Amino acid sequence: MNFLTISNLYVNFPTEDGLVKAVNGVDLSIAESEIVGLIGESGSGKSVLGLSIMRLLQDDVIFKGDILYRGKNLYSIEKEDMRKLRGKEIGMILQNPGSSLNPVLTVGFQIAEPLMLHKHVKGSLAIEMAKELLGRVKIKEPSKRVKEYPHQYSGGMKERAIIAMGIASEPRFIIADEPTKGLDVTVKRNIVKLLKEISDKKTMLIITHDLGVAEELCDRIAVMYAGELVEIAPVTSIFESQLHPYTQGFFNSLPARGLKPVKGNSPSLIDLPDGCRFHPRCTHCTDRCRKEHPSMVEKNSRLVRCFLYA
Amino acid sequence: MLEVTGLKKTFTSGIISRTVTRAVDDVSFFIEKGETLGLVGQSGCGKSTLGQCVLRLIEPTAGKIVFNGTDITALDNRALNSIRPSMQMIFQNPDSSLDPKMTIGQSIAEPLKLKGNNREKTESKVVELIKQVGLNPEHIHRFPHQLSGGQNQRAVIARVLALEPIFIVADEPTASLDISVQAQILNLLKDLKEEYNLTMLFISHDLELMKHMCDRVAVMYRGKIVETGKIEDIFQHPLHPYTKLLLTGDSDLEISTVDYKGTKNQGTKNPVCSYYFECPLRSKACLTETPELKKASSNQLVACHQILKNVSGNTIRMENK
Repeated sequence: MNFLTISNLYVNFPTEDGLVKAVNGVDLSIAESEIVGLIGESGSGKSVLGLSIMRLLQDDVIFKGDILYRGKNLYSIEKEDMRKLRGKEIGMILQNPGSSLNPVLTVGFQIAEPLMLHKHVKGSLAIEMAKELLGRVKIKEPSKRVKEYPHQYSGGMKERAIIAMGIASEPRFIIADEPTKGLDVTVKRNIVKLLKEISDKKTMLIITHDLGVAEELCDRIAVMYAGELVEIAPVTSIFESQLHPYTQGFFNSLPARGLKPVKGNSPSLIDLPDGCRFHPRCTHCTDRCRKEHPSMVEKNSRLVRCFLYA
Repeated sequence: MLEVTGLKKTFTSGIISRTVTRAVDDVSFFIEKGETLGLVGQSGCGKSTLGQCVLRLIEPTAGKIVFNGTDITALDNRALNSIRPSMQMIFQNPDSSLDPKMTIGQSIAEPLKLKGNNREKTESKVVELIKQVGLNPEHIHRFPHQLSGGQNQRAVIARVLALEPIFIVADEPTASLDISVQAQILNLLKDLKEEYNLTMLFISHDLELMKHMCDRVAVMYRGKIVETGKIEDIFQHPLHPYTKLLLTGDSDLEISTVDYKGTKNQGTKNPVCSYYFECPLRSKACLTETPELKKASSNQLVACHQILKNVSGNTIRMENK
């Protein structure tokens, strides 16, 4: 049994301009204590995928597919049960530390809150544990910092506090959504180090567009483009060679790999191209790509969605 | 082309207990014609302030800036306005650098009109610029919110080019963009730089980008330039411990108790070398004398007592032989 299985997931948002097709038929499974990196450009639907695992999408979304967490279908259980699962079993580290913390509550209280709710720890003890957690995420002088408010923290420290919140009730599964976004190089390196430490024996889904972070932390990489996965491969092999033309372009746009980006812009999720979603930007585009939508094929024990390998 | 000497910018805050933040602290550097100088450092180290001071968008507190032979720190507003078109800035966030109520075309036409072009000429020039930055003529009538971040940044670049500048300060032009879009914008800047023989001050916190964009780099730490040199030299033999940290992440920097908002004026309690608290090489000498930017090799300058001591020691030993 897989730890987490997402099968044939569709998430669409009805808007005034039309249906935003954020996730289009995603299949992904994560094994116990595996760390999977979900990479892609902004607007490719990766955050929505993360949120749908947490069942944190608004009520009016059009949702199709199954998400099985340790054999339990997250979308057939009661809302109340899901609430219990959230934070206790599945922790989330949100992006944007600046706006993910409540400005009028102390950081200590915010870390203690999940402990009080899920582990039924008494207030003062929970604060004590929050202090310990702050120490664990390498915040200096935790006994002083625990009483402070988010605005007294620097960006890197806020991210650490968010991580402390995410791991407070020792969840089995952690979803980290862009944990290093907007952080400085040196601070970023420290956060990656910290995530590596806490990831020990944990199952994680790391959503990022930073390939350096993905390489450092993950076992397997899934590449997302226009709401679907285009390539899934072990981290070592994908950094050696990329199969899908989009993955190639994505990797080559790194300054260290020659700054040779894919031409054009990602398609609007309202008006997706026919056939292969990537065909208007692809250099290997054929007639078949324009008409037919490729499905995932296996190639050297990796999965890729491209007719080049079919 | 540009020579900056002893540039300082301090911000004072507080009424009763006045704190002085030295955002840019006695900085000197030069940029030659057609060259790109990269300015790298952590957020809050004063690199954006420095970039804006150079164009006098922020009044510097002290120092001299000589641009193309004229001392622009001495100019009055009118004279400054006449020189401004030749020195332009590209800001971090393209969405907030464009007027949301103006179409892309209007935004680009604005500087052309100010230059006294007639309507026909303006229109044809707008189309030319739009094409040059890789946008389509159909974008002319769109508003900034209808375009993506990358497209808006292209429009900003077109507007800057409209004035035919010879010097551009690019302040993290790709900070808010995705990596593939970032690569597109950087390539565009590089091509345009070649085409117009532009001189550029490129501000970023990403050393990896510098490698592609710049000829020389200046590393900034808490308001001071701690190391400068040719890009290859800095990458191959970084000297200052902070540069080494940026490049390799070798030294184990945990979140320091010192905040990064520039050197606070706390009298003698403050160590004289701003990197003292995090420096693996620190010694007593660092507390008594401010390290100055000095020659450490033929084309590398560094501000660190320990490194400079070793370097001069080496040269003496070599001379003895």
